[in-house]
Amino acid sequence: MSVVADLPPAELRDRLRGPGIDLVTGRFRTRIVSGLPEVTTGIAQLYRDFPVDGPTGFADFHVAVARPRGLRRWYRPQVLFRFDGRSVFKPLPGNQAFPMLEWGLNWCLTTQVHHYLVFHAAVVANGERALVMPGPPGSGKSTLCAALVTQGWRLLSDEMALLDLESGLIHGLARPVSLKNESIPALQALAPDAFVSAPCHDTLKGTVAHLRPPIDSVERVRTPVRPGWIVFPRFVPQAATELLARSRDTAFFGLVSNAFNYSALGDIAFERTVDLVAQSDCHDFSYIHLAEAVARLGELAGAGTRPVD
Amino acid sequence: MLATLWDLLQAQGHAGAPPEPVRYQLWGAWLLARRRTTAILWELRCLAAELPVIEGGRPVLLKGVAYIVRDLPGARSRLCGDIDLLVPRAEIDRVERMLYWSGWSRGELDPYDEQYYRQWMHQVPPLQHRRRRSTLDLHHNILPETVRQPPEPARLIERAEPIPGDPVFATPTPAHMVIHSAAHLFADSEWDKAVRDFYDLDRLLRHFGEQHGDAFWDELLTEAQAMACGRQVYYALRCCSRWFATPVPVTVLARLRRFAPAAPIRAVLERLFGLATRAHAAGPSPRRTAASRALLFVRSHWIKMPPLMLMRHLFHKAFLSPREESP
Amino acid sequence: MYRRWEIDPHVRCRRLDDQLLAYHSGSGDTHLLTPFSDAILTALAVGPGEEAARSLAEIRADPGVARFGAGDREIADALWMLEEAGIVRVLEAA
Repeated sequence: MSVVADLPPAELRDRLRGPGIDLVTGRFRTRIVSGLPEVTTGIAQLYRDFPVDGPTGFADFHVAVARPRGLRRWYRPQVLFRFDGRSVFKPLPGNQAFPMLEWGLNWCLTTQVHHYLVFHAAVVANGERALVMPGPPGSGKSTLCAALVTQGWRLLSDEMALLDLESGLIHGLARPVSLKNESIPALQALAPDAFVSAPCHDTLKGTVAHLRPPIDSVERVRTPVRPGWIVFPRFVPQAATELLARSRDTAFFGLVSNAFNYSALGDIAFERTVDLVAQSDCHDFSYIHLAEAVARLGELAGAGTRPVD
Repeated sequence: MLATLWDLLQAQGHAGAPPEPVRYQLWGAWLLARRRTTAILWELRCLAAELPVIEGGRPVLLKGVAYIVRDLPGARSRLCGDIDLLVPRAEIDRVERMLYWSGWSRGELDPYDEQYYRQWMHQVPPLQHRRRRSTLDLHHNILPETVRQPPEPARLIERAEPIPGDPVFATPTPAHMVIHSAAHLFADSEWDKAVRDFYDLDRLLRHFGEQHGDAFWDELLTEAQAMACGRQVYYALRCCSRWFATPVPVTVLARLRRFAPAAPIRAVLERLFGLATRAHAAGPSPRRTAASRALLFVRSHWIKMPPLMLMRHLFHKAFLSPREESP
Repeated sequence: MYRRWEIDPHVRCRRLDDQLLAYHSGSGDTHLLTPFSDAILTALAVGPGEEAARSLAEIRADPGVARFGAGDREIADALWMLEEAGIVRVLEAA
């Protein structure tokens, strides 16, 4: 299968506008249709190294990003995200088309996927062990994730940790990492060579940009990882960088309160979450400077894990 | 219906047949359905302790819950929503009051919706348990009172069959289960679930036809007449036998024909039903099928409300209700 | 009136480090048990072929429970709370 970078820009644009493309992200295949230049550009830049196909065969998700019919198609144009032909969110200003695609793809994972246990957490990997960072928006997990990924950690996801219900291993999609507001210049200061898309201003989340995933992470995306560490991050401007051990039972509840389908899956979710926590070293982490944070987590990874009961 | 598909594939030994991504979607749906079924059964236990004793018969479980409790084929992979419970109209206020003290209350509705529910629909607005967060749809009729010929709920309640080993609940007789399903499908507005509802009907008809034979078909005809639901049952059996090859005896169909409307209307309506159901499954709707769905939606509402009220209700829903509209 | 308690069949338990978690597959609730409740549940856990339910006296006599030095009332209170949560159920025989 070819990757997005192999397609001439005009062909990518024409296919997206017409029959659409199948974008392969990890174990998921998404059929995307969009005539909007922001989407074409976003995909060309940020999904550069991802396999692209078709559209052909079975796709897990069928999505479209388009202008609404009617007045808002032309006047102060808006953009909609459609799943199976139906609009899912309120319309956004037209220039936010690419962030909307990303939010929409996240929505697909949190609402349509039930053969994995889905946590609201960033996941990166060191060797074959996962560092899972649960947290609601604002906890800083995406920023930390971006920082780690530019410093050699493998990217699995900045938003969604997928726990395989059969194997207990952790999967990701290696999709672009979202950055907001101050974290954009902070990340660029840490990693000036990393590719960050042009910022989109005045979104519901402020100013938003995306970091292109490292090609290595994209190429290894289909390989899941074993549990390693669970770290609950908090960006705390006044404090020092501090990593504190967290008891496994509180880590368990911290994970469950950040799970999308724990209740819906029942017993099997309970068992697999306990397994995950039992096999992980759990911590609370407050940080202020990205570089220090990366260094501290690097030490954690180097130190290995505590023996498990 | 994904969980149902998973079940069917397993039962017929073809679990490995679909490609992996498809298998995983089906399995995921089945996991959800399994959890939902367990949760519903538990919820029934809690509810049984919270309901007051009712005059005039046992409270009757309807639709998905009834199918689960009776262990009908495919019930457990059906992804049942809320608990639907039918009580005599005279008891509904008292039941709601007693349930309030056990933790049940109405969700938040804007005043117009609330008035609509109370006055014209056949249920109180859905109740939610404050702690357990489960929902309960309390009904005192099968279809809203504004329908021109409302079916007789008392008959369904009287003849409802107590569940063995359960001191509280009953379920409708087989004929009444079919009638309720048919009435709900054709006179209600939620066409999104059409495929699933037709499938349910097919399963019910096959199961009861097999289990009880002529006794079931005879009862179905008698009750359809008695509950003034002949037309809906006629449509239901016609569509099922045509689309699912449901084994409905020819004599039964013949006897139902007298409930049918005049021939031209019948042909138009059946084409509309067919279009609306098939179109939704195929994905993005061409204009014709969108129009046919819109027409049926208007028809459903027309059945439920006199025309003048309908305009006011539709107008309100489109412009004043805080709900989202999808383009 | 002879009361005995047993772990509700809907419940599955797992240990994380030294803490006991209980999941109730009916309600879907997940509970973290205090050390005292943990001891009581351990006292109620049956091996194969054992008699299922325990009386208050049997629970009190269990070494894991006894080391808390709790009296009948404390144990009964804990059992009542576990009952409310659906984690144990009570069998009564005349």
